[in-house]
Amino acid sequence: MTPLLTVDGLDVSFGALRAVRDVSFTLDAGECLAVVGESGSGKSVTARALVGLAGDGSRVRAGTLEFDGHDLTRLREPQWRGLRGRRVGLVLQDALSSLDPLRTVGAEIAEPLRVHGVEPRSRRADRVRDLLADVGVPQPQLRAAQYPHQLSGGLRQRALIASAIAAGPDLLIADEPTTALDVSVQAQILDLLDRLRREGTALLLISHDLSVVARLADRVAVMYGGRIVETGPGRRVLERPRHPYTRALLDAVPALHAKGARLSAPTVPRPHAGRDGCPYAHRCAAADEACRTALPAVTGPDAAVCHHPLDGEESDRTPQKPHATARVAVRDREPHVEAGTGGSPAAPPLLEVDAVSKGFRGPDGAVHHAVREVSLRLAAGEAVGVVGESGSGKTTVARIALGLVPPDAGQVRFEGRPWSGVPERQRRTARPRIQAVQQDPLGSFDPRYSVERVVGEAVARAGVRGRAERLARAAELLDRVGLPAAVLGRRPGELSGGQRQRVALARALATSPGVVVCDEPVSALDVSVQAQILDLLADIRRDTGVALLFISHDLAVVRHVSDRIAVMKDGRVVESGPVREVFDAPSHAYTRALLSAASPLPAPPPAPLHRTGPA
Amino acid sequence: MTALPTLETAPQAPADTAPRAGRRPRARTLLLVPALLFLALLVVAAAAPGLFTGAAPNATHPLQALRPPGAGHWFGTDQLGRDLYTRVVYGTRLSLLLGAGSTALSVLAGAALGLTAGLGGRVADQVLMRLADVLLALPPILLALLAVAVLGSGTVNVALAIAAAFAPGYARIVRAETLVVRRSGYVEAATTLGLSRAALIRRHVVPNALGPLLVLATVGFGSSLIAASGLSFLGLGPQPPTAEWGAMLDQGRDFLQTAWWLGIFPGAAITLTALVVNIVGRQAQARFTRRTGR
Repeated sequence: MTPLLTVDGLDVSFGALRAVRDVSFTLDAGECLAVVGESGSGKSVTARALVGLAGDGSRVRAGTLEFDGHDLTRLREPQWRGLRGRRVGLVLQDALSSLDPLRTVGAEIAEPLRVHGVEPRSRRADRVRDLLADVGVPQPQLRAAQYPHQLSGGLRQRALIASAIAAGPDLLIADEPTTALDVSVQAQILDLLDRLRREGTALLLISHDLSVVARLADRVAVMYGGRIVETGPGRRVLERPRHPYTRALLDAVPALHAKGARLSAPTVPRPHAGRDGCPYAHRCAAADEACRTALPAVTGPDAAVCHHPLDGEESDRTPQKPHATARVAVRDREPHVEAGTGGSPAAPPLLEVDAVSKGFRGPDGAVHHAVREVSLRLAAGEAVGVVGESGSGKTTVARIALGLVPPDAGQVRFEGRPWSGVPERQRRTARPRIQAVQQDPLGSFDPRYSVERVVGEAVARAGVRGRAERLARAAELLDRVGLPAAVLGRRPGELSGGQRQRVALARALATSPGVVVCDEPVSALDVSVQAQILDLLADIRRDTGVALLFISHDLAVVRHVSDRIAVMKDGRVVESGPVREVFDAPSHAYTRALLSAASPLPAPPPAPLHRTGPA
Repeated sequence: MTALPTLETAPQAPADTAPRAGRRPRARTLLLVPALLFLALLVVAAAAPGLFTGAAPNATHPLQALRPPGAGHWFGTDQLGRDLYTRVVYGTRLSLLLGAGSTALSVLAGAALGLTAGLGGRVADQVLMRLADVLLALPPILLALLAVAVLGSGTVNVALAIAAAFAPGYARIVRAETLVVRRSGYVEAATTLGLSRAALIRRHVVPNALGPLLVLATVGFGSSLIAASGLSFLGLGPQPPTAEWGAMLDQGRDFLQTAWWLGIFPGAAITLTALVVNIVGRQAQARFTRRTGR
């Protein structure tokens, strides 16, 4: 049987930039191939090239590009249009911007039916309703008549999938289909995609999220620097990676790890490879001269394109081992955890949030209760995680803790003194001792400021006088967060996401605070960069004894960082306690749902592993 | 190996520029150089008109009245035999000063009012902005006329009148920017550092809220210039025999049927100056937007 889709030697370039180089794979009906990689790896460009949408100024070349017997290399735009939507469906990441805001959801879904003449006008409405019901949208009749902004993120994504599958395509290309979604909604979308695949649709899944890939993919192709560096059956690649990059990518995912273990490999800058060399050579510990000059030949459908593939023992990442280490690591920390939770006189809480509530008046005049009677305590040196889905009120809690939003009820105490309900003038002197790191560091820097001024302002607030002294202290702080002093003269806009977050961290540490409130500090970052920042946070905590209030929607990240966690839903804390107890024996139904929805990697471990509980 | 036909037509697009930003900015840059040169010329003419002409602007030669443009008089002469070229050159200073002065005044007033509305309490905001609404409902030239009616005619009063007419627009923009900046992440970050309110406003709010205004003012200069010329044309600005473009238009009005040059040259000076300032202003705006990502 010939494969549904055959790609051989696909090259996409934008001027001098070669975004995709020599990419080859095949895809059968009912099969799911996942293309994995960090941003800039060329995975999205690959997917778009397959539907003739590589983009402005792109140049697409391929040895073979064949879909169900059609040679795609010969297609002109009108023929592409006949193919897109009819035979190949495309689901994009951002459902809100992919759906036309001026058309109802029903009109959007009916469009491929109309354009491709699949269904006569009289039957279209029925078909749209069936499709919406198919993708699990409740009240399909009502939803079809609504506009995209009236639907939640999960429903929008389903509507988008409904529109992509409306004409019954044989191939569905999903580019980061769940990235913007909360974990429980994500699980539903993945179930839907899985069902479509079982019904015979071929699925090309583009994702940077390995837990998503682990759930769906039959085969995985790992991309780096525009090339496929490893390909093979999903389980094999995720459990016994052969390419060093795949290994590093898997190691960077916190879920798999012993709490407190390092996530990122130590990076020693190495020379970049030549034009034909391995794109990963400059980050790879095993790289040698051979890697920099040429790539080994690709061998078969289950292979790593590497001169020094990992094998056997060193590549084995079956779950038992990390879990064993996890126990040890957690036990090491236990006394610390107890000090934080017990509230013993030896360690009075640094930050006390006591039964705070906050409501916001919506445009329609109705009050939305963002936070209801939330209490948190943070002892010196402790890390408390707050986890919840979007809209659960966790960011409002962070802002109340920072004294930026006054609570409607309840009170906050910092360093034993009232923090809420007092004039700003009174808070001001204590402010340097409680700092923040935001999700979007760029927005937290004055756009006119260089890194030197951003960090320098905080250094000056810490009482350092004199320009030379301030500069020296700023350089020292940058060094602390792993940035060279050369960054001082740059503007934050010129830095990468990871570098910006390091600058934000340097600024937060400038005043030697007792508490740093981190609101989703890593959720905008690639998994390997995220790993570096999480490691950095752990180092800083160890060295400075700073307490962290860590807000995130990502259970694995929160678990990795925190001693204790609080789970929030609809503005309330539904469960809280030491991280191990909450994860091993969740008592609230919502926590259990969150945990089961966030599938760890690889494939969900059997239930007993969760139940073993604290000794 | 078969080459796939490229779907888009620009295979040579450089990788570091967004493909969409291809043609238009280059066209703008093309105009920028001559615009800047002309602007430099205007400034020199305003500072030292004697460099461009040896004649005196107010010297009358009744025997040479209403001569068409030619070798002796490049722009011709007016009804009193004054050399029009000389008068246009000498008129540059006052015309530019009127435009720049009134723009500066309106920007200053607008910035002060906008910042007060954005940073003051809700009462100050409501009062100032409703007032701005009322003033914005009237065309600026009408407002300026009203102001001149109250203040009386004259060069300084025209500048004040135009400043009053354009200030509400600037105030609106500054207030909106101030509100955005106040809620921005960097002001929050500075608050978290424990900066005093005064330091916060001085270091972060004011510079960021006023940044776009300075660029807008360059563009607004053109409008002010035209408005000032308009008021002069109505005889409300500089009084004869002062050489000023608007006033010159007014004085040439009665002879337009027989002496077209009396209208064309001062008019062209006004139009070209406004155009050139606009080109430079737009370019500055584009650069500013690119730099700050707004």
